[in-house]
Amino acid sequence: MICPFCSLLCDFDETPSCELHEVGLQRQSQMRDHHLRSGKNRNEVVPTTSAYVRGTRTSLDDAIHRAAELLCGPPPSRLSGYFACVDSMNAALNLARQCDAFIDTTDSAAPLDYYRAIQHQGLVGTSLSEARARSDLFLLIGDDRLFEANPLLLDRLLTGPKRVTDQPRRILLLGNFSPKIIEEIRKRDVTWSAILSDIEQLPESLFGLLDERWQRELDPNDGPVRWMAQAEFIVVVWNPALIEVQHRQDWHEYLLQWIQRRNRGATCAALPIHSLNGIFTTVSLWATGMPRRIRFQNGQASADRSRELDSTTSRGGTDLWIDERWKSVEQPPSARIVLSPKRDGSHFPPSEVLIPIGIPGVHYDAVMIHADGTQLLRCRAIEEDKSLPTVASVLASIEEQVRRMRCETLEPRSRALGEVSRSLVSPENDS
Amino acid sequence: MKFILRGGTICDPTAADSMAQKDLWIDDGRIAAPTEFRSSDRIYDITGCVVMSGAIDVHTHIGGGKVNLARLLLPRGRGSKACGAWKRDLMLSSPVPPTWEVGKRYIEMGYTLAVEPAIVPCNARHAHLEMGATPYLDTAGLVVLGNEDMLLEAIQQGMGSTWVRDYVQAMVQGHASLGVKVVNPGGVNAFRFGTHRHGLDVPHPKYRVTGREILRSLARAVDEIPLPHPLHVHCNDLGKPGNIATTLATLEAVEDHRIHLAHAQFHAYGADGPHGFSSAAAALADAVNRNPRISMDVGMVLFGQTATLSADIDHQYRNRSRAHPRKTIFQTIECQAACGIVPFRYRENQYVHSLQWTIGLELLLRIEEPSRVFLTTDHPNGGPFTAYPHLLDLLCSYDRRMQCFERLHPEAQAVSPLPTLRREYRLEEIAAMTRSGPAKALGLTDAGCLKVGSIADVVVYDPTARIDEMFQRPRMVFRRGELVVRDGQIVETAAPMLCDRSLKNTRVAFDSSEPRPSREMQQAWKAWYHRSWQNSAIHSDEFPELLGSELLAAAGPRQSQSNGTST
Repeated sequence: MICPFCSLLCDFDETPSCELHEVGLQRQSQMRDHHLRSGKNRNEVVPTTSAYVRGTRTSLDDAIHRAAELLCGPPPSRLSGYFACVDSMNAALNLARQCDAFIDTTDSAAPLDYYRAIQHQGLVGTSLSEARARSDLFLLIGDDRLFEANPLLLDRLLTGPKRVTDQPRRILLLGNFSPKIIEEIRKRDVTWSAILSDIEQLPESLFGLLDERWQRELDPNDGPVRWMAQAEFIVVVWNPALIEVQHRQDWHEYLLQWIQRRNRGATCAALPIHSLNGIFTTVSLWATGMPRRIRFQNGQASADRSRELDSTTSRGGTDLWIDERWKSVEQPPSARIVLSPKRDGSHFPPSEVLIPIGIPGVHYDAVMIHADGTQLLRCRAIEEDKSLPTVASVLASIEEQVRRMRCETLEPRSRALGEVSRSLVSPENDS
Repeated sequence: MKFILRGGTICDPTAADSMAQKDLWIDDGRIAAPTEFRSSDRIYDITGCVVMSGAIDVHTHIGGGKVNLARLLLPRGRGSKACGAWKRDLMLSSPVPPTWEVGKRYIEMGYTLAVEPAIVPCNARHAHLEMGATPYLDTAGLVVLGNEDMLLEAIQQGMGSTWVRDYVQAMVQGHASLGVKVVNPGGVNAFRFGTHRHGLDVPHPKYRVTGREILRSLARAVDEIPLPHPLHVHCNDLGKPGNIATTLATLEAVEDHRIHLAHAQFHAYGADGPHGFSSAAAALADAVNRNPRISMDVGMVLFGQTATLSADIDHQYRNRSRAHPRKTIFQTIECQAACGIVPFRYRENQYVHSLQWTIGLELLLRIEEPSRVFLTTDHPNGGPFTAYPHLLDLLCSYDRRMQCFERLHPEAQAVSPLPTLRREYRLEEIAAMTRSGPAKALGLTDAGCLKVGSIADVVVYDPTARIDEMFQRPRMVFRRGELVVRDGQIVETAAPMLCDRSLKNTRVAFDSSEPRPSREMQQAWKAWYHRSWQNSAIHSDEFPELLGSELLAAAGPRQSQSNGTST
């Protein structure tokens, strides 16, 4: 089994277990109890096909039908949310294509700036096991949220019997980490130092360390300076989605450039940590050739370069909002159709259609992406619940309905056309 | 559905009566024996046309992490510019197009099976899902081994050939692969320790094993299991002037075992000539002609913009200053492999690029058996796969070859022996090079031919057209007995879905349904990767609709059953 509660996707039997794992299991247990209380017994679970249209409980089929009606309208629909597995992404892209819609993740601006930085600057990267086995200096950039999102990140970086270097490990914290995090690091058998600085200026500061003039002025006995000079393999760890600086793309470009330049002397690599939502980029790249913010027109995908989706979602919400996360939503956007694991509409602004769904890796098997982006892993359901629909199945049903509705709309016009074209096509049987 | 292709010339090098005019019967997705004609049977009159089985690309990078990284680096809309003999309509939207475009363009040319030759173990699930989303195309993958710390440490510790064999089997089965590829044996791992240009016989800086030992261990394991496809080798010293010595030493290193040389053009260089770079295609071709256990794919280069993506991070890193445009991606992956992505532009007016172009053609023209040398561009490394019709035209026509040759760099023209090679390929030789030969090399018993019982991947060509037109726009392409392409265009009424799961990846059949490495091996796995083997490997019940072909039978350890089941 694999723990699906954060993007580290640890083996379930890992010790120590983490906070998210515990809370996730607890939440799952509560959901199950709630689920069971709704029915008389396990085989008679109420929410199997229930959904909500304008706040009234209705059948799943009716909700899907209404959702399809809403997405059939003339202005391009907008699909967004938090995705967590390959099947959901495939289904969402298929639906977006069928509806000629915009599609992106919620809060896409930050990761998109990072991807644009790569497109301009390139990348020298690595993966988690590689970093654990080889790195002798980790630069951890950001703040506490880096560890809140992935509580066992430090373990994954530092713990493991296999090392291919004899060099001792060191950690340099760059950013605004709280005493709690520092205490966590202090407990480990690792040399560390914290430079609590404004990360806005961080790439420039790092470049300064490479600059000979600066190096002359720096104290060679200063720990971090010496570590940087001595390190054989520096790994820079940060979460691109959590970087809040004024010129984020430039910031990333500058950092990536520093990493590349550092490789002239020794080895240095980026280890960007992504959330489960990183699956969007992976699937979107292979399906459309673009990482995010996609516009379908006549079934063809193109980049939404005008950021139309960005402006429309911030102004008027989204048409279909999908949230596969097991955690509560802090501020859900206004959306006409919501697909979410939450059992009622209380968490959301009034939506026309609310369809409860299962959680990938919890209620059904799902293929999810690891934090370092190098592997997809199969997360078997912790507690399989076939009564809860998957995002993929709901989206496929909506897509089917949309297809039918469009055919019906086009029928009168296309019937005549179809007859003409059929008469023009020569019969296959040439005998 | 039953139908008959009437009156075509059947071009199948595996048949005794190849190039005879006869009817081809197709029933339920397979080639059928002639039976009594019923009025309900459909007939396609293809008199005057040539019929071949679906073509097979044995080495094309169409799936996995490096392909996706290249897509990120080079987004769509920046396709390669038309250059020289290139035609604009052969261009792709990007050197690394999305899956739907890959599938569409392959099937439009009559290709029905493509092999991704470099699947990194930890990335195998991604690669298979991505290839599963490639419409119209059957796919298979080779797992990349030979640079994992875990394997090198085991060889160093003297774990022995049995351990290596079991490891190889577990890796092939656990990553749903058709075979094994080794890239720059030992060199990719040595690069991570700061060693560059790691030679075949240089001990690894940490594990003290040589590339030769790694090659021999893997080649022996592949033959002992036995896997249907020989060890697929990307030699050390790719691209280095004078690397022919390493390539010939590599052929010797595997001793009596089978070997498939990947993108051989990049490994057939001498160090003579005006710029210390010359063709050594004659020496390599001679070695292949003398030794029937060797097969190869060529890896032709085409002039224009492309992206090079390779697990050979050592070579790619050295090439970074030649990136065009100037941006690159390098990544080391889970102590298993690495990749380098370098956008690149091959130019006609450049001596080395011109000579590379001639070396690829030289190999194809000098190797006598077309069933052992396969046409590839190592897509996208040498150029896009859409170049195949153009390249076939060059192979079939000395005059058109020379027309292109005359546009090359003058010094390359002066030193190249290409004008002395007057061979022109016949259609049967093309069928052997693109169908029956690759199928045999991959161990596929019911693809690449038109014998009764084979899968009905059938392509109908108009031989009156020029060769490049003929192979670019087949009259008809049938996939599993369904008409998919007519006159070079997809005929399906609805556009293909982004993700078509009805297609299959093929893989090797083993006796047990689940990979079972030894307990010690599983412990080592956990130690290296912080994850259990159970949670890493692809299991037989995982996306069964996608993995494990029911139609393409690979003759592996468990010999194919009569119905060809290979799951």
